[in-house]
Amino acid sequence: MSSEEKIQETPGAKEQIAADPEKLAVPEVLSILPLQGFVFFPGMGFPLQVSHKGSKNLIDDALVKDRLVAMVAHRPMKGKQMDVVPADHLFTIGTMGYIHKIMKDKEGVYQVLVSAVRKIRVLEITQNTPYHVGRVESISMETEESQELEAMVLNLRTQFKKMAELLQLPDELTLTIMSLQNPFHIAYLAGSQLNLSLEEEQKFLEYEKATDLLKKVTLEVTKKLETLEVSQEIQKNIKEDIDKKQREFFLRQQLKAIRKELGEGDENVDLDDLRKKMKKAVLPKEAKATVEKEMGRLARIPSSSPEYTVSRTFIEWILDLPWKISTKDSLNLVKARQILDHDHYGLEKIKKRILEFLAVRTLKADLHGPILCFVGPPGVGKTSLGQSIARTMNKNFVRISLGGVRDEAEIRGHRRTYIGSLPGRIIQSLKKAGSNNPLFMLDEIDKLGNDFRGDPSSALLEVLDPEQNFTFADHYLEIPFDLSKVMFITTANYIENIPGPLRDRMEIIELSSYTEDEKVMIAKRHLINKQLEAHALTAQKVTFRDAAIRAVIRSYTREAGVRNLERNLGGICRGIAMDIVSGKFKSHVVTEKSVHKFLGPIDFYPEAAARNWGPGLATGLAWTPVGGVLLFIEAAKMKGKGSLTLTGTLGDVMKESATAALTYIRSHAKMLKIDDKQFAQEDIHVHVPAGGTPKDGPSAGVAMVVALTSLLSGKSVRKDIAMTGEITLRGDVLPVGGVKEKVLAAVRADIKEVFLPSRNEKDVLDIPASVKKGVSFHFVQEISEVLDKVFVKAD
Amino acid sequence: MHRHYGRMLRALSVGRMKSSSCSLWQPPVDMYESDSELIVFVEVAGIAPDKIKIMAENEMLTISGERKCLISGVNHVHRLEIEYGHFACRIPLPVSIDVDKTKSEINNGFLLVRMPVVRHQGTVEINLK
Ligand SMILES: Nc1ncnc2c1ncn2[C@@H]1O[C@H](COP(=O)(O)OP(=O)(O)OP(=O)(O)O)[C@@H](O)[C@H]1O
Ligand SMILES: [Mg+2]
Repeated sequence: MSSEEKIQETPGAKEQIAADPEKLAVPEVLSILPLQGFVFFPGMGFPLQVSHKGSKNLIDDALVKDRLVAMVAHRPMKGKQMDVVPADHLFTIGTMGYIHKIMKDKEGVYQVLVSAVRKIRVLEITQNTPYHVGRVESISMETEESQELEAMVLNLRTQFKKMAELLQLPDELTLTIMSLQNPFHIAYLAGSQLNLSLEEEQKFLEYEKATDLLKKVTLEVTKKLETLEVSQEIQKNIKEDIDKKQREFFLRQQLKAIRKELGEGDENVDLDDLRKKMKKAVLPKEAKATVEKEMGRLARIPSSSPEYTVSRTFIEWILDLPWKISTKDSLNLVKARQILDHDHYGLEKIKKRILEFLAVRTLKADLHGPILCFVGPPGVGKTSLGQSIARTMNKNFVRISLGGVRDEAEIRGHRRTYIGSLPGRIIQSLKKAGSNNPLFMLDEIDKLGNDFRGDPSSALLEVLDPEQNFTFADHYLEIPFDLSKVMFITTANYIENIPGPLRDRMEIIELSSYTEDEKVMIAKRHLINKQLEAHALTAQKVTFRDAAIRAVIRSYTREAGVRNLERNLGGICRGIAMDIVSGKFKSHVVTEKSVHKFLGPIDFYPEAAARNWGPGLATGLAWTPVGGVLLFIEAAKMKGKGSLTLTGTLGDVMKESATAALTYIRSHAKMLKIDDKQFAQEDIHVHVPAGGTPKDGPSAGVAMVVALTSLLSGKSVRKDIAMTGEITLRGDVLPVGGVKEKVLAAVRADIKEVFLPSRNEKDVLDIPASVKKGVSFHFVQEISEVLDKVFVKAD
Repeated sequence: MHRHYGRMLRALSVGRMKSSSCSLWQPPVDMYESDSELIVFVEVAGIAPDKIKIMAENEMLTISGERKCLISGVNHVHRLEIEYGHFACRIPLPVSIDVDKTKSEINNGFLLVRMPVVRHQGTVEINLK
């Protein structure tokens, strides 16, 4: 700056007083006036209030000397109200001030008008009392003119102007910023308007280069500007929002008025209905509160908005649920027995267990007994038993199938945040049941899915667990529903597939396949009557011969239960009904012949009979969840090196049992009179049809040995025998499961002799004699006992 | 000295920021306008007349000078309201003046500057030669 060049070094104090303060040189020593909480930037001039004794001394002394003071800000003195600012609290960079005017008021406070004329650095404090004195040096505020600097100044000015407008700072301020020439001064004035902390202001002061200072100040101004703009934007948005709401309200009021004019009434009829319904509904406290709250909300939503429907549906759900509606249970064991007998033939053991269960339940009504679980093949009456139980107890009946339920939300519902969300199947069924104590059948609990959509079995556990189910929380309802009065019965085909924790809570009742005789009885006592009724026929018009029923069972069904039997009987009834309607005849006696006429070509032949028999074939017996079946083992040989191929979708255990069978034969080749050269020259292939059905288990071991022996010795196995049993390498025959089902399958297939492990003898004793009639059993301990008897006698 | 006072006073004193056109202090100035004249009074008491410089331009009046403090040998200052030292102020003029006919005088501590006003009425004829 040009003025700096003309600094006059004036030696005497008196003469300095008279000198132009702008041109004053910075003396070597200055007394230091501490500033609390702000920085006195160079170029500024304003009054200070001085009341501290030391500072007043300082001013007085300066006034009679050169009127110059060093003004240095100090860091806050934490909490302590100290009389003197400790020297180490003072910053080192400050300004030199020139005192223009001073006034002392009655209380002794000095009003000192000072302007900061130079920037200085305190080099050393030389005196602390009564005020600080230090050695100082001047810091230059000269700038070199450059385009960069000019551009920066211009930029700061524009930014500042914008900020000043937003903050509504006095115009004078902007004008001053525009008219100031020294870039430092511009930056200091702008920086002092930002309300920054002392430390940040002090930093401004400490920048030595104008460009650095300008950069920093511009940055801060821009930051402030941005926050201001954002907050303005927010304010604008808020205002717009309010305007919109007001507009909407206004329009709605108008709409109301128009409706009234049109005679449509301004009260929502729909809402009235709901209110009436609410008055009638018997709700628990919590549900009531929720409905009331939701009703209040509903009244405020326009009925055209989708939210209205959501809210309304929710209210209806709550109102429709049987929170407090119970049917009166009744249980008379004699009557119960009658109903069970009336609905189902046989099932003696099962009916007895059901009655026991019911008796216990009535005795300790409040004690939560286990949940019944009926396990058995399809069509054996699990579901219909459940219905019967409901009848015996005078309960409402609902049923859901859990087959393929993978999503927890299917059990427990979706939260209402979903569009179109509904309660889960449990709550839906309760609405259907219309009472809070129905018999609730959970079918196919073994077919429950389980994947990423959440674990439905854990939700089910909550449903079934008496410790938890009195506060069952459906996601949709959000209010707990008491399930403790519900009587749950579950069904499954396959006990192993029921999730463990669920199985533990249930009392398993196993139903097995029906024998042919049982099926005949079931048909005669129940199914035929049901079907006649369904086709508007009577027993007077239609009679079934026993032989006809057996023909249906044998030639048109192959099942453990009676579902297909029932369907086929229905088919016959339909045919008869048609004929009667068309006037062909008035009544009909169903014989074996007319069965074929109504049902068409035979679906099933006795299994073994249909086969192209020869060496390498043997008949095994297998157990499946849908009952027992014949399992044919086919073995073939061809030129090769003695390898064994296994096909027919066999599981590991079954493959191993084939290998074990071959090993047994090779090691006993001599005894079995088999040419052992074959093992090296031929490849052996074992196949188990039907190829597509997966099979596993060890129980085909005996049949494997028989088939392979037959193949290698060239002797055919008798067609009318079947066998089951696991083998060891030494030829022991081990017991197997599912004997009853397997025997029934053999009987159905017209097998005459069955080979079983001796340790399964007791299972056979359980099978009614009428069923076993015509079949002879061989109980064996070693495979050799089988091999002695199974081959066709060579003659 | 209270923190907030310091900041507040600083905030209120924008006007004292030294702009390029003004010195640290300026003597008080009055300005009047009559039909024919612009009249400016500057309070210049205590300033030697030969130290005062006046310059009138068409739209700006520049005055500068220096007031010297005459006191010496004191040991306490109780009151200090008069400003000393070099001053310079540029006073913008609201109307055009005739620079050549400007007059000034010092009377009882006031500097009086009289400047005839130039008023343009109607069109100005420009003669091309
Ligand atoms: N012992 C029986 N006496 C009378 N009818 C029976 C008997 N067993 C089954 N039924 C009838 O057979 C039909 C099929 O039974 P149901 O639907 O109960 O089978 P399910 O065991 O539930 O089969 P799934 O495992 O496929 O669900 C029903 O009409 C049922 O009344
Ligand atoms: Mg069922």
